[in-house]
Amino acid sequence: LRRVAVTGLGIVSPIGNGARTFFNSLVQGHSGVTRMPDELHPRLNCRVVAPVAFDGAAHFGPVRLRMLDRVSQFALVAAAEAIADAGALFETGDREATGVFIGTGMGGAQTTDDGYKSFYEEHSDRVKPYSVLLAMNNAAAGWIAIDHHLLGPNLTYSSACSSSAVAIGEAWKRIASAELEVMIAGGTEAPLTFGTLKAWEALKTMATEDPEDASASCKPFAKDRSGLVLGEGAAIVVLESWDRAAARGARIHAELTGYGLSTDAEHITRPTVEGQARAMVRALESAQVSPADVGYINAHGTATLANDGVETAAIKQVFGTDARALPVSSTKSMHGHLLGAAGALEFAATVLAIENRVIPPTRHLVHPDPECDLDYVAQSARPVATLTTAMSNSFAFGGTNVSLLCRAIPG
Amino acid sequence: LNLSADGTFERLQRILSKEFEVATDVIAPAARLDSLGIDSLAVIEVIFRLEDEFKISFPQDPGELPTIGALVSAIDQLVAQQRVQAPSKAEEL
Repeated sequence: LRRVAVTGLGIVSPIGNGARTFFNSLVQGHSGVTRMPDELHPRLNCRVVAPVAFDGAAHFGPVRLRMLDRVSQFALVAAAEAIADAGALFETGDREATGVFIGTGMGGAQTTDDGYKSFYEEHSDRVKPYSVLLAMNNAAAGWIAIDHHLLGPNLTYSSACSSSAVAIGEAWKRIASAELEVMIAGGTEAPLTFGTLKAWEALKTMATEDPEDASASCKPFAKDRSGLVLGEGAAIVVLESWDRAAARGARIHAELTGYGLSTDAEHITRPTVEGQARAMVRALESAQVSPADVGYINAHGTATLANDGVETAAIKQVFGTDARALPVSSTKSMHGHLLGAAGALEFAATVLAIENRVIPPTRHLVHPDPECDLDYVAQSARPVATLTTAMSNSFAFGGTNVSLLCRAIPG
Repeated sequence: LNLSADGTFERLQRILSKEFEVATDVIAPAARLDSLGIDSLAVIEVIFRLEDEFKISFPQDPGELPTIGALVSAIDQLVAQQRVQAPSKAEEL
């Protein structure tokens, strides 16, 4: 298998847009979780969300904007940043050897919501002519290819909360197997619409608002955790064959070394220790590293009652006696759960952590849960000069579990 | 700002240039919509916008509207017709 370099990062997130801003917020422990204004969707009981500060009109003209759901706007802005970050990516051509793999759980949810509102509630027949093109799940990937003229495979993965981790893992395989040279991979999600939020509320997995500080409502691994906080945004990475990146003198953020994929096949929502453990083991095997080599895990860490205990047990099963000394953190405590974009955003956080040798914290972990007894890097970021290998976990409703492994560039 | 001082053409011109990125100087009565970059789907967006602007409703099939001039005539005709019908419509609601 060929080596794969991460040469570009682009981020639109609830804790800031741009990779640098995003990572600064993570290290400083800033939370993007907030309480919705009272006048917005008063029929919602769950009122904490992690929205992105984003004005589409600042990036796109009115004609273009009418053809782009918020989910595609995020993806295009993140992709443009990632491609620019990668430097002279297409100077040597290779547009036919460049694919775009994107993950999204819900696609153009705002368009779907707006269309139904107008059609069912307002009894209007004025359904927007571009509705189908705005709402379809592969719109974001299609637009990225159009904007950057990328002629290789263009695929959209949808496996709920692991969608974009799958997209990155599958993209890694295409380069590792020498099928393609460059991949634009990642995820995007814009689920903060009235209908989508109500559906999530009905699922009873949403966090209750912290009465003293709404921004502290997402408490992964804590005894007082109450559920996830929905967020929005996009994270896109540029993956490139190592030799190509080296030949053009690209700045390499990290090496993507392993990808593990497994399925729970037990329950549509409830995770299994065995399933999660298997994804981690497969990632270690594909990277040919031993558990003891891993210096940090960016956990799935949703702050739901179900996930955090199971993930803790799965980590213990895989890492054995090393587990207690292994730093594990959930950055969802700050940026919330980006669903289909979560895996890519957290992979980017993992890459930035090893590149900067700083582990971002699990915020709002004040009251430990005896069942969750690992080192969760509670509250404050931790510099680790020797950090070289890190794992990013993404698990999902439907049972698709993914672990990605990356390694720091020496020096 | 007194909008009534504006003719239908000027209001249409303003919408097309600001919201549909058509250069003002090419918007002329004889100009074909497709030559202005307004394709068949964009025409529907334009019509929705004009319905709001002029408080009219276009028939389900607005028929042939190939040029700016044809669109202006259609708007003026609908405004005249639907102004007369307006009271009865208000009663229905």
